[in-house]
Amino acid sequence: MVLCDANVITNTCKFLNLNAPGDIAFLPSGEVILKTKSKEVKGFASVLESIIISQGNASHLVPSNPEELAQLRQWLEICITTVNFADSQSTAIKELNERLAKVNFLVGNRISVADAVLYYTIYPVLARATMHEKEQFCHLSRWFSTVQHLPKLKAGHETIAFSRNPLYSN
Amino acid sequence: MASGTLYTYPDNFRAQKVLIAAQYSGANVKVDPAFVFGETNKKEDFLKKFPLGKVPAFETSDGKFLSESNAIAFYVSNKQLRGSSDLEQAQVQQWLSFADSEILPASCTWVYPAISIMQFNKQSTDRAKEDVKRLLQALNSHLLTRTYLVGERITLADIAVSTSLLNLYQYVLDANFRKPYQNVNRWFTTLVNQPQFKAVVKDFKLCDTAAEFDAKKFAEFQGKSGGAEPKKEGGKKQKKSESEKEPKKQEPKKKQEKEKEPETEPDAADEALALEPKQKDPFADVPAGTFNLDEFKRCYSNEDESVSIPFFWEKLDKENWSIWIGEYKYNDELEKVFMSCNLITGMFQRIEKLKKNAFASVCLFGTDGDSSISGIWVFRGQKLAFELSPDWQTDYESYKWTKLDANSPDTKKLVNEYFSWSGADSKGRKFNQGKIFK
Repeated sequence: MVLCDANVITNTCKFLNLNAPGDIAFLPSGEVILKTKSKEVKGFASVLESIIISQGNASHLVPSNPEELAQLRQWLEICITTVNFADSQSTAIKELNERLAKVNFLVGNRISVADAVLYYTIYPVLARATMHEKEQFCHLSRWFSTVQHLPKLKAGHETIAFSRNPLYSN
Repeated sequence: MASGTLYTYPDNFRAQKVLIAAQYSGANVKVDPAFVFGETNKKEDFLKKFPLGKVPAFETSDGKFLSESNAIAFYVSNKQLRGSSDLEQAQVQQWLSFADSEILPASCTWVYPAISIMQFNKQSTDRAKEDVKRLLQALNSHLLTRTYLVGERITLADIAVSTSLLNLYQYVLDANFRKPYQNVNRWFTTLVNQPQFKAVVKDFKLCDTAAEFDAKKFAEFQGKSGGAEPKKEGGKKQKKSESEKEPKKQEPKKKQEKEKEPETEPDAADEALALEPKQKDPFADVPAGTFNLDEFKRCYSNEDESVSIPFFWEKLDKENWSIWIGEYKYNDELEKVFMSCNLITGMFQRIEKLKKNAFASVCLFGTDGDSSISGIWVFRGQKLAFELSPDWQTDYESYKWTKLDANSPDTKKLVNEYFSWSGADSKGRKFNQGKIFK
């Protein structure tokens, strides 16, 4: 099962108060495609990037300086290449956990649309994870726990419970 | 919404706490530009509003007065910063107290001597370092599962604890020291990079190399702070504009003038600290050398002389420390043994402050009516320490002082006898009693 699906794209659009600029469709190959009047954009990361960057208003949720924009692109790439097929046992989650050990948010020092995209992408994995597993990737859990409290982000997603106190570690 | 005027000197971390909180809540807090520390807060109309004359102090637009930085910060905060439930509010209070009663004492004890605005005391600094480690460890475990201290958003708890850590992160927590506290580092970095923090603390740079006590700078600083009050303020302003021009420069030297003020901050302990450096340390100009007197004193108290005397010779820094023999000039007048002993202890009491930089074993030889007093003294510096301060000169003229050559075998023998309370005086009178100055 792939995690980077059309839901992530539509949820992200809602989060940014944007209408998708065209029709989003899935090709039989599993590829996402965005069709506008004049052109087509293929692929999860490219579709999201075209929506976020070209349509992104002056919202503080969209990074504005070049370094942060690069970080945003980097995270879209990580979503599609690493997180896409992850489950709670996979090394992808461990890798993600390590990336989040030293930072609180994906881009810069505040919540941005990058956090939203990863939230929607990874949600199914964390929703199914056991408490034991969530404790094992505590940095990812900490990040998720903070991000999910952004009211606009949740859009119908249940709040996932995390333990504040390590229960299993020795 | 709260609005009013804040009285403070520039870069006061307690005032920064208030100003950051105001950035978040949007409270209209103006800093009084005319405030001059040491002048404005000593004037009668200021003291009428704020009887203690301490800053930061806050005057609301409708003429109410608040002192104590936590109270002011609470007043200018919004609901999010104060905590949204009863429990969260209590947790915020918990962290405010933690910052004031745990972090600040340890931080000031370590940082102020490190940036040479307070006398260095190795024992206190070492203890403060251990305290800081313990506190950072506690914070580190708390922040492993949390992004912020209370709840999922920034609260006054984060503002207060991070501002109390500013000095530590700026001056002494170098990359190596802070490495084990990754969660605290992550949290701290996130905070100081928030636009609301940046508006107040500007571009914060984490410490590269830990600052260390410099006796010369300390002496310079004391010279300055000993000067007339208005002059001191003038100097401060000048320094401030300098550092504004070069915001990247973080060396303690540049900041020295600015940083001295936290001592004269709202609580009594700090106030006391502020008075301390104004009395010039008589030893300020004497190099400290490598000999750790406290370490030797501990060894001498706890170990047998067979251990402590070799320890003394091994550690003694002969460049910067000197050995003297002091012989009482009026041995003929000595009567009862207990009276002679009182004479020695009386002298020790009158030179109490010299203890930090001297060690002595003073012995009484002989019996009632036929006795002598003499002692071996170890001083920091090559001069007779009594001459450094008029407070120490009551008794020393009653003794004949002779400097001993630290390298000669005779000295070694003499020191060993006095330190181990054995041997006899020049007239063959046997050791009777000894007193240790430590």
